[in-house]
Amino acid sequence: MARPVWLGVAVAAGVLLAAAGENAWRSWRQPEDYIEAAGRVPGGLPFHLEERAAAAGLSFTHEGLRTTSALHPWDRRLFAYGASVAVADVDGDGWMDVYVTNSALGSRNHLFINRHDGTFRDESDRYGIGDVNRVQGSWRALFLDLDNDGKEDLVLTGVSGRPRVFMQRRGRFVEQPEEAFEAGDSSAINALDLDGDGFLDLVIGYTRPFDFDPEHPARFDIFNRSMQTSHMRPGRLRAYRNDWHGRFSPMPGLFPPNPVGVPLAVGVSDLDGDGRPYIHWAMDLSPRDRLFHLVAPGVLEPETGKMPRRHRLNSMSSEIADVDGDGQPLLYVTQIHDPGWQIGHNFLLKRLKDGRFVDVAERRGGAACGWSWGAKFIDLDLDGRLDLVVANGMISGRSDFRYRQGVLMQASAQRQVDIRNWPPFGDSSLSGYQRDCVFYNAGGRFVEVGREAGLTSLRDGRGVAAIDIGNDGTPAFLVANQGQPLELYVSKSARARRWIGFVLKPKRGPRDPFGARVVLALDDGRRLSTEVQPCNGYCAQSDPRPKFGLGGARPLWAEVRWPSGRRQRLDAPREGRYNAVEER
Amino acid sequence: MSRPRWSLPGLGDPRWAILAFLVSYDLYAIATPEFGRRPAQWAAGIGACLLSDLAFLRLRKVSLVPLSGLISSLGLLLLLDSPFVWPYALCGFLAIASKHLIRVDGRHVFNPLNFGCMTVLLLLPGWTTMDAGRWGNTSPLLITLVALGFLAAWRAKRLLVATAYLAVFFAGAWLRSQVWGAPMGTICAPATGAAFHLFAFYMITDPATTPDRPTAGLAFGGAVGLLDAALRQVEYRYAPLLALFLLCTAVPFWRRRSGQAPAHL
Repeated sequence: MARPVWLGVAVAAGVLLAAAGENAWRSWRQPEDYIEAAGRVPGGLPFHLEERAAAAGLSFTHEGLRTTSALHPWDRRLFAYGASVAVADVDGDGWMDVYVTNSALGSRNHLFINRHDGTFRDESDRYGIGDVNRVQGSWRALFLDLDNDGKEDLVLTGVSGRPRVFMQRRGRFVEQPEEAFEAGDSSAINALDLDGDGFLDLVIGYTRPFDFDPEHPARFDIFNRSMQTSHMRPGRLRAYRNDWHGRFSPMPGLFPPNPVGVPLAVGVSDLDGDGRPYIHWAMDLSPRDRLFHLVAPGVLEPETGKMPRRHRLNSMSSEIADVDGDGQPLLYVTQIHDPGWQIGHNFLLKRLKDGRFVDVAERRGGAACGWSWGAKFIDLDLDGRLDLVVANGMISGRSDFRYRQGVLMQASAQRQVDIRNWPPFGDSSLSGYQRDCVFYNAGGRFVEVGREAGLTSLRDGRGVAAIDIGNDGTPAFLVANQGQPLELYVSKSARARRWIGFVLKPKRGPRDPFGARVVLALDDGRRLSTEVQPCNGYCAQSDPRPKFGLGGARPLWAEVRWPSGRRQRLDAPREGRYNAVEER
Repeated sequence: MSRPRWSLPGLGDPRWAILAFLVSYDLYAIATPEFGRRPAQWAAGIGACLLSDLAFLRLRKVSLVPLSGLISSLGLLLLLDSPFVWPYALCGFLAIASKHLIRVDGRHVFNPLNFGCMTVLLLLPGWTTMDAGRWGNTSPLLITLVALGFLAAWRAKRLLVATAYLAVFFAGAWLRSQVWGAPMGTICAPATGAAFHLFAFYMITDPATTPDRPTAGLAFGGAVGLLDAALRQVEYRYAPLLALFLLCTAVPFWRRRSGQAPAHL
């Protein structure tokens, strides 16, 4: 009896040893196990990416908030946020400019003005929005025309402190004191006309129920009571009415006062095609995101139970696009996938007829991309199908902090809540050195091709913003990296690529075309559509001009549905350029 | 040929108390949305354990109600964390299979749940993990867990094993804080969480895989605590599970050396 038994024990031990060895082998041979398996594109990948930030004059390195207070040992963990990028035509010359935020006190944000030759010039001082971090660090920038004067104004949220408003007057931004906003950390911000008065209002999510001064913290219970349950402080969802000329007042009662979870991003889109937008809050540390439908001016209806429950409680991004060309946008929500530590998956959510959303990422790809943050649907090869770029990586450093954080997550809620009970973070690493992902749309299925495409950066990515630098349709995107340099990737191809774009100028309501939808009919029978919502995603504002890759097809006609609800048809729009469309 | 009669353990069997406590924890998990378990996962875990236990019992011509299988399945659903359904079924099957196939002198060598969890955690890191943070770890929960845990260990006649483990854990923590300078509060943080107490009072106190004699139980608990501390010092993330897994293999040796009678089940 004993011999076969010990044989069994030996086999069991062998299995475990083999498993451990296999893990070690896989880590060595395949260090990118946090990304789903790379795929092959039949016929080869039709584009490659070139990093050109420095060549384009976009030399910028983000600085995270650092304190001299008792919080200092945990600075890099507590303030691992603040890198963001905004693309907008700030000077009104028809070319896209770039604005990047900085978070350290005394650091400078940078406004890079497009020089029309593929390069940029730093003109932060001339416009007066460079030296803005003396009192509080910046987190998220949002350009929009607040007073309908045709010029882009700026709303800047902070890593603590109050969101700030900068109005553009005669080529210079002037800060307008605004007391209506509550103070607190905020990365979730978006704009839409909530009350139908023709001016863009703001929705802002705060990550804590209170604000605190990092340099002079009066309290240390500043982290969540538990990192994996709702036994934590809720965030705050707020709406602010734009009372013309960029003055704001709170719109109480639109959102629940104490929602479970931390809002990290907010996406806006007309998800059901009824002309009225939905507001999607990406609620981190919560089993479900929150969804609201603007059913009438100033009336938001909660879509309770429509968002799927998720296994992990993370949610960092809200990117929305009509990927399938059926007029039904897909919603991409990022999470954490770190084998052996946190097994979450990004959601690619499809709306069913009854209004519920189901996740199709496991089937269609895009599910696993490390500690994912910002995501953007971009047609990287202009074939008429949207691809997906995902930035990832939490904090890159020296020693691995994952075990120590795991230990802390086993501790009592009372212990977790006080940051002084945490092991010092120092220069540790937490799910860092992760490669960003490119999911190529191979006819409905997303295939990870990042390495093959040339996206090999291991930086801690946050926001991803699409941009057309030269107004020539060339796909490009910017990645804002936390504590690291800004990156600009330009899609190159030996093949001729065809495209068509639109510049929309609404006449009724807000001057920004946020909420407008363009449907493009092609001669191969396809109907492509896109909605102007440049502030979706995470910590990024993209080029607001609708643009379509054409592949081998020709455009027949386009239809614009304006935010006012009016529809306008364009026959035979011209490809290879941006077609200016003014609301009639 | 008459069908075998399935015998139900008597009410004095300590497993009833353990089962009752685990059922209450599982009900807490079901009622807590953040625990993140879906009905299909419960069905897969419990179903795999019960069915495989019944099948193995049948093969071994033993007619017992699979109480142990049920206990393993309830513990499995509290400890293992996966967004998928099938790892729960696989883990449950491996746990029960180890109980029936890896045996010395009529006793299984490994704690079934420990074996199942360690195997899938090592083999499937992209699909499974342990997430002790799911519990929320509030004070009333911890007090309840510790109180019921003491009761369960006492009923199983393994209170000394649990006590020895706890004593060595805290002694090891003190030693590590003295030698390596880490704050005692940080090292001891797991002891303020629910998963730690589930391990200390329910897993290492399994009567079938731990020594019966009090002194040996003390030594076993202490050894698990010592190895656990060493593995924690090198930041191995499944330290207590691996410590128990390795030391369980020593118990049959010790039983033979000490001349303990083999079990009949």
